[in-house]
Amino acid sequence: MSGWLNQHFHALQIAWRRMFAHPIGSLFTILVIGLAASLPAFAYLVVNNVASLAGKLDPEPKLSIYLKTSAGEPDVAAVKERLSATANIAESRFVSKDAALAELESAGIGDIARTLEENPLPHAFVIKPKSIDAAALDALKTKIQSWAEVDGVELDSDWARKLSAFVEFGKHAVFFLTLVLGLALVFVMANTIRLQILNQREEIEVSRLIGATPSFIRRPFLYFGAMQAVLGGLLALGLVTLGIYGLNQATAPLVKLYAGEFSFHNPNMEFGAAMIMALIVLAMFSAGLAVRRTLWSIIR
Amino acid sequence: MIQVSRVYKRYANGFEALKNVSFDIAQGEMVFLTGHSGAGKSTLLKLIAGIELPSNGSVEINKQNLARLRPAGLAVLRRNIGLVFQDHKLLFDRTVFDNVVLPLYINGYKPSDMVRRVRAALDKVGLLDREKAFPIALSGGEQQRLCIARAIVNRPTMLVADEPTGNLDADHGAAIFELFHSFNQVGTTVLVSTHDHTHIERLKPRILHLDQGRLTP
Repeated sequence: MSGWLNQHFHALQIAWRRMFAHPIGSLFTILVIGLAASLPAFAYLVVNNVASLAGKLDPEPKLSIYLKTSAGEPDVAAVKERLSATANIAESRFVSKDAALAELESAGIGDIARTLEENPLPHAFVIKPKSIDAAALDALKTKIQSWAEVDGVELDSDWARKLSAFVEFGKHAVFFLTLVLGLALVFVMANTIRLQILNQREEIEVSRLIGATPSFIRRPFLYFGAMQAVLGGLLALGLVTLGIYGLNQATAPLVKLYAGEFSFHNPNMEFGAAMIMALIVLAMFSAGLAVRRTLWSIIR
Repeated sequence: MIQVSRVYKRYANGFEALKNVSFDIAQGEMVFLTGHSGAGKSTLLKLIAGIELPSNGSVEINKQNLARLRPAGLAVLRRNIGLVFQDHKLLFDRTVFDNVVLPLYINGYKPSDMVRRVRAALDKVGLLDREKAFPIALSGGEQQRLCIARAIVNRPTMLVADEPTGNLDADHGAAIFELFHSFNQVGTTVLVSTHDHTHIERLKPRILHLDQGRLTP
């Protein structure tokens, strides 16, 4: 057991020494790994954060019907009656002007309304249509808009649906980016290991002649790849954290404008560990590929 | 221990280095392989070490045909063979100590055993005071002795040496042959290619003489 551990420790030592034997080359490889990993990681975090925001929004389409500010109780009753007679409506909810003001105040932006002498908000109805088909929704919207008591009609979830669609697109884009950059990383790392193997040709030949098994020879190259992956991963995490900080600084005024409490979250421990693990697997695969293609051509 | 049966070795350029060579070497024998330059001594030793494969015939060590061994099997077999190369095959970016300790790492020795064994091996070849030096700082003879230290550090059951005293002066050459002899006395099989007849007369080993790729009586 101690002999086995010793061999692994020896392989780690060799890998460590090889990394510092060519510090500039190693640094460039680590930089490439860090940059290539940080791009999809950053995009993933941004999309994930936006997705969590979109998840809080109701994606079901709803129509908000704003009555004229002059509309009184009889107008409300008339609209209610017409709504119940309209075919494409699943349910409707009346929001009085007082309830709307209270809702605004609870959201923390009722200050301006309170400074006015009377409540400027109109009575409203929020309706959930039966069909979410775009043409049916447009027809319903046009119909209600034509009623005399109605000032305006808005399709509330339109932007939420657009955001959800954007998030879906973002997820696909992140997947594609990860795939392309992952593939590029495999080639970069495999080429680095290939050059290492060619540089260490003499040592490999000697080791083989004095009884080193293929796994003994292969091990330092795998560790070398893994070490570069860990350092590249840490660099990527640093870059992503920096990017998220910058993004939060840039979006803070916009978030404040909407009196919301949203910020992009930094990568957590699980994300960092998963990313580094993925890079290690990728590095091991690349090293294995390079060893298979290069090493066996120089030893028996 | 070693069985060489009807071995031929032809190279791609058509040169036939070995022709119908057959012999057995038993465990604990000391055998000197003699012959002029180009007689096929180094080729034969390469076949025995599994570095090259015969074109025809077979080389077996401990009843294992080297041509049929997988890379891992060949590695395990080589751990029991101490190889001394004509061109030393040292690692010039490692110290004397690190060159000698390599077989022990490969065999998975404990660190405490490694230090003891490396120093004992270096002491036997007279390089104990040079353990921190790099091979480039050693003379040709010292490099050869370093190669021998690496070959014996693992206490192999068989020593195969290709012209081990080629770069050594008479005193060091005699000391190295004395070392091989002492290993042979404790049961190690020794196969040495040499053209140094002074040692042959003194140690009286079994002689295999090669002439133009053929074993001659």
